[in-house]
Amino acid sequence: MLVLTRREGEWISIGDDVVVRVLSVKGDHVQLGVAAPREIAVFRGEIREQILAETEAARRSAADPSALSRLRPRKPR
Amino acid sequence: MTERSTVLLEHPLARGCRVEPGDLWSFPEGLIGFAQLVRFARVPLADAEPFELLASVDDPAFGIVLVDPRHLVPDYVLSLSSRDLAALDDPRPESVEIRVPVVLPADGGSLGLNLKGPIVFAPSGRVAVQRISRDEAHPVRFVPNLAGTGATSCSS
Repeated sequence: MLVLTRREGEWISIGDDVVVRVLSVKGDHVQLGVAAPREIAVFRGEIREQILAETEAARRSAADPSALSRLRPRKPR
Repeated sequence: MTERSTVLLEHPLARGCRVEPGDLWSFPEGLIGFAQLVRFARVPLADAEPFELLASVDDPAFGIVLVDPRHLVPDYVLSLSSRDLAALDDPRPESVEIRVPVVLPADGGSLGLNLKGPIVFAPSGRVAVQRISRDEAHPVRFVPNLAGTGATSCSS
């Protein structure tokens, strides 16, 4: 892993068209600004883990066929 | 790996269902966190329409329930980038089908929809990918309010 030290207001470039700038540092919080083309997906790191955990919860719940009897959504308009 | 013969599903919600190889869906990237699962069958759940089962062929015990989010969140919109469409072999954007994973309710619990991690199906090539919604208003678990929506509730 590449490790870089940056100060407030400084930035790093990733490839030709992604820039990550350190906007502010307050205590243990670092505010970052990311400029990237729209087709580049940028998310907080924990989102992926949360989605994985939710898929695991969906898998566990689907293993109980009786849960289906509690589903009665409406039809789309 | 390409399936050449009829697949017999073993998941509890679709046990005994047979799926022709041409009806399977390819997930080139797998699901998020489950990259090894690349072949799936979609099975309508007749007793729980419009929910459907996404059953893995690679792991017969793996299956999750999906639903079109617009059934419960009528204004749900997923923005797809050109890169997303390329991963689906560039289907017409209006032809893709959006589904979200569902956590089925436990006794006394609530239904949960993963609006943050939708699955996008391109019927033209039978290819699908899971994406992370860019919309900050889409939570990982959305609990719909079923009151007054036509939901059936029973009390003793």
